[in-house]
Amino acid sequence: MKKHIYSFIAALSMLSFFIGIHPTCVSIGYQPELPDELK
Amino acid sequence: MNLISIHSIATNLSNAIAREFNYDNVKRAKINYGLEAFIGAIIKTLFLPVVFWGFGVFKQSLIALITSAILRYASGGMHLKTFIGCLFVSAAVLVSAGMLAKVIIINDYVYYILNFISFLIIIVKSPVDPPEKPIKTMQKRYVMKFLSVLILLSLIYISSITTENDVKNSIVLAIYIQTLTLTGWDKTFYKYINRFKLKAKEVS
Repeated sequence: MKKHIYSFIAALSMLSFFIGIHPTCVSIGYQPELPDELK
Repeated sequence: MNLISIHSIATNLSNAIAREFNYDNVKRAKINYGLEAFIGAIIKTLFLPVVFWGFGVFKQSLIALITSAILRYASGGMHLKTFIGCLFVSAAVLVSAGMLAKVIIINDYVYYILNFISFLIIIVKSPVDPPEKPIKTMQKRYVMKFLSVLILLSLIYISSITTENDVKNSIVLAIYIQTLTLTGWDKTFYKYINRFKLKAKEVS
């Protein structure tokens, strides 16, 4: 069960990442800082 | 003011997921970033409508939010340093816009002037990208500028055919406020907001 929940959260996060990584995305005034691994 | 940070929640959860599935650091970082953005979006989606409703400007502020969000997607704009700061400033600005939209009457001259100023700012400044995630190619920059102009003209058209005064005001004010965030004047304003140190507490 835990594995399924983690897997669901991971998939949702990856989807959110591919939308959120867009330079002008996240429509209100805050963007999470890009982790060092992705700079 | 200390609040539990969504960054630390996302970090802890992404670490647990990476351990469970043996993900490398890059994938863990992507999950971390996506999760933080997702949690932030959920909080905003729940918090802002409740605040709008509490101030009695649900319709007006929601229209202002949707208008500025659509325009902001292509034009970009300034960002605050903390999530909490962003949440409160967004709520304050959008509630103010909603309240103004409810009571003021924008005559034709002011309507054209505001739209013309917005159009000029978009033409000159858009897109404004955050320094940590710059738009890398000129081609993409031109595409985003073109998209911004297209969205702006569509929003102006929608506002011009709207018969309800408060809806029209909400759209015009949201366009104007959003385009002002491209000019950099808000840097001074946000500098004072960031001084309040609405920082979140790290939890382990």
